[in-house]
Amino acid sequence: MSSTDKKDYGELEQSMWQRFQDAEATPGPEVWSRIDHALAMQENAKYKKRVLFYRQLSAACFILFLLAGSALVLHFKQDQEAALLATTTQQQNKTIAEPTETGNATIADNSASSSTSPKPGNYSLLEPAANNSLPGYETQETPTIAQAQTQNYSRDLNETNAAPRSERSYAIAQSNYNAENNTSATIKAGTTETTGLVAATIVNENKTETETQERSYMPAGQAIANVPADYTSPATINPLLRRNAVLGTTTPESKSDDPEAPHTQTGLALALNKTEESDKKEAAVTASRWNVGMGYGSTYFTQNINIPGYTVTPQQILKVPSFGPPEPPKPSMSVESEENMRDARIEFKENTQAAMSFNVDAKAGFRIGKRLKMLTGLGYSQNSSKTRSSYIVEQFLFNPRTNERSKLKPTTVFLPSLDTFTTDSVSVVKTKQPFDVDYSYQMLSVPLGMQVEGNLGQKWYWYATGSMAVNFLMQTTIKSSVPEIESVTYSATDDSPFRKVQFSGNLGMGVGKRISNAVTVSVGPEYRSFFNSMLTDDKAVATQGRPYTLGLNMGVNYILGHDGK
Amino acid sequence: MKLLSSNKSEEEKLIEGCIAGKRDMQRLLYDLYAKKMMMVCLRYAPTTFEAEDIVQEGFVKVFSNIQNFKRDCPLEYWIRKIIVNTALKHLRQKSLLTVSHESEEVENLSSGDYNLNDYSMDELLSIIQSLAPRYRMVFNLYAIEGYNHKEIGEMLDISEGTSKSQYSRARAILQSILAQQDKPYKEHVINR
Repeated sequence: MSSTDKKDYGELEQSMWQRFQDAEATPGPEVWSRIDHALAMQENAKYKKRVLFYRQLSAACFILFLLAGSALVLHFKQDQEAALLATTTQQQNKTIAEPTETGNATIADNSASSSTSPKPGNYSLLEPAANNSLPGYETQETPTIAQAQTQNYSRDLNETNAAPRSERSYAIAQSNYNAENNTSATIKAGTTETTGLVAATIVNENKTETETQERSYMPAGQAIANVPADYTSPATINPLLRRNAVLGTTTPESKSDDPEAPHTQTGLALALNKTEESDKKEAAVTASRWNVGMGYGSTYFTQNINIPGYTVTPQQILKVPSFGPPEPPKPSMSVESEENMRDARIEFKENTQAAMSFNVDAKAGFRIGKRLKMLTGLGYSQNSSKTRSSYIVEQFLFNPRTNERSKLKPTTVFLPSLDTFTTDSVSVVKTKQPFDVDYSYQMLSVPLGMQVEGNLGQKWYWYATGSMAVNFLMQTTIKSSVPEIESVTYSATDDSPFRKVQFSGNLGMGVGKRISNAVTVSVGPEYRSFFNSMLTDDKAVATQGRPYTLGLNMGVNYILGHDGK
Repeated sequence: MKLLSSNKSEEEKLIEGCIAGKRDMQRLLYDLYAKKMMMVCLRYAPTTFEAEDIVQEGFVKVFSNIQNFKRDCPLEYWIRKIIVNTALKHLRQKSLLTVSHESEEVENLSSGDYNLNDYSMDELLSIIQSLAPRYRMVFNLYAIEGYNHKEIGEMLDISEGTSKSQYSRARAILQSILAQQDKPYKEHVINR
């Protein structure tokens, strides 16, 4: 306080401060009601915001699914096109094979008539890369090998076209030579005099140059039969080669007089043979079929529990005896309590809402096929639902032997609406302020399901899961926010009005990303529908609905036995 | 000391309960401080109804922001601060904090000995409530809440000098009212 402040602060201020320091005034009783109402409004606004968020999330997930679905359709379409193209290529190759023979013969004839500039056709691939071993061949350098091959080959055709053929043969021989340093793939081209068909065989062998060169050619039919099942033709990988295969020609560039062209083409074929796809296949072969994973789901649980509407019949009001089968005895209650009971049940129906729930699970998966995986594991879920009530039910029991009237613990309208509660008289009191009641169900689940996966790119993939689960209700809690009503808890062994074993069907979809060869993460919405109601049939008075959850699931998976590269 | 720590732990429980949104705990907190805060509001508001409005608005703010209470001051002080700010906002919204133009000339009375014990609380309140809103604010903030003029200037968006001058004027008006009611003077004479 400044000096001016000190000057101002005199006797009057002191007196005022003393009088008002601890003075009190009672606010009106309705002030708290207004505060309570304002707080309730705030909570509702927060709840609405949360609901809005989840709605937006659902919409986003739906859009994501549409996109994933589109990508999936596109992916399958591309596969189908590739298969169709491969079939067409094979058919066209067959039809082209005959003209090729003629073409070769023509070339041979032309070569015989003129030794100047014979046009290299696809015969370069028809030519044998190496034939019989020649004396002194092993000691020769690679160009010499080529020449030897050329000589050998030109002996079959014509001496006059030896020069250009030697270039082609050199190229093929060179490619074989390039495979000298323990190359895993060697292309050998073979031809037969009878069919003239091309057979390209890729064999994963670590052969020395000499061994390769010494191998004699097999007939085309045998070569085709020897093609490994997992061999991917370069023509199916490379659209350029595929087109050439369809046309039965090389590219215009390769038709030129570039002597390196066949070399390049063969090299390309070699390079394409070691694609990332084949690497992945190799990695997949080495990886185990088993994978383990963990997941967490944030869900909204709708318990779908119904309690009967309570109506007073005219007979009850007028005390007129009713005819027909005797009705179950109803507890006696005042008209006011009866009205309150009816209002409380209407309130329960209107105010019971889904609440935030969660589930965690640990799963093991076994890959059955390329895209199919079987899943099982163990899950824990805590499903919650809530309602807002303004009524407290007090129940009384009359003991005719002792003529004593005992009072049960006050409850909400929910429990007395079950078949288990048969009391002599009931009093339903309306509270000044509404209070919250939370229903919480803790469950252990054992799911068994299938998962389909497909690639969305190199690192991304989609998945769709369908599973069934058996759910064991471990604990149920009904908790009120007011101290007048005690919380009710049923454990797994207690006599509970709730179903202890539940079956459910789960559906999930989503996208995932491969973090590494061994680790993947995934996210997507999940829907779980229980096959039965929460309340057992003998305890439920009204028709019951089936509970369900809707939420977002996130998971991480680890592929066992993977090298982790 | 033990009692103090026990009170503190109870207060902590109360705060935790309010943070958790438990209505019964909120009710307890309200019951604990509502009366004092009502008196604070009565000093600022011109009528009881408006004071109750401020109490309601203030406590809703308290419950909404109690998770921000850093425990660096007593809870009562923190609540009082919120209530006072709510009162200022309330009156600002109602445009009651416009500078009043008091036409009457107030006699500059010398500060005498005031024995306000002779006045009932209602009387004192009515005296304070009779001040123009701006003067009432400045007087309350300075004389009873203990803020200095610089802080008051910041709170009311006025200069420190304006706060001082308005306070002097409020003080003079109060002295005048008290003089008119004659009680302090009577006491003064008797004492002499």
